[in-house]
Amino acid sequence: MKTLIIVGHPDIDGSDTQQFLKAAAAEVPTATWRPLPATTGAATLAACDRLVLQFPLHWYQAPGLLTDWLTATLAQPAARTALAGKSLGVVATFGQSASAFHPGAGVGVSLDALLSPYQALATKLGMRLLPPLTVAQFAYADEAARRALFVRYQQYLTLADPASIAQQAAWWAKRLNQQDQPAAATLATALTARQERLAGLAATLHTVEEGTTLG
Amino acid sequence: MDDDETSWLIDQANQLAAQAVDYPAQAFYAELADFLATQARRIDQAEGELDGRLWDHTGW
Repeated sequence: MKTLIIVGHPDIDGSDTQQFLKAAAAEVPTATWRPLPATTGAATLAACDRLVLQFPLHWYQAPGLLTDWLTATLAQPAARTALAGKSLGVVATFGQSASAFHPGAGVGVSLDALLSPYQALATKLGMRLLPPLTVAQFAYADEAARRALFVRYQQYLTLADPASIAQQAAWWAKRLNQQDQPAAATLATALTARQERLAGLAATLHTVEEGTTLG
Repeated sequence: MDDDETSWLIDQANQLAAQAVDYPAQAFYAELADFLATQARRIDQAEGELDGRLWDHTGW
């Protein structure tokens, strides 16, 4: 999957969060990191399978840098056509706790509500919207959370359905088999066998459930 | 699910994380250990659910 990451941050070099994500994206050969401001033609959009809009929330919205890019790019009919059928990802970062983004909480509005324009955008362009990947308070994240984000972001750039355990398992196995380590190959084999076991159990459960329903 | 095998696999992943020479490799293997644990839990849950359904006499 070829992924184009449009990074709408006014100071990428000064942002620890963006530098972290940039390092993770650098390990994904099929991902292209495109910082704004930039001009993106229809041919570039046509060449990607996934467009990722990545930005910090500034006053609960994307920065003007990103909306200017959307306005300029989507003014081209060929660009709008080029994006049809592709997937749209949204990576939003912010300095408040995720728990504040709920009715009755500090922000009073959910992240889903704040990011709903991207659902409308996806619908208009004939794109499939992925659930957003949100990064709250990166500065306060411990090492375990950062490691999890590093991998989760890479999977967000490469998996058709990043939440699918089956696809995650295939991703792990593929990456393990690319390592020059006998232990890695052993892990890949075991992980794959276990995923097959899980798939078999799910299929059997489905059959049993159907039998119960029909009986 | 064989708990001993799961523990061994997770241990292998953690050892590779400890030996990693750069951050991407360390993150990769550390998260792999977590994924292996998650996968084992899901298998246990599915096996338990299947056992429960097969041995539920009300469905016979």
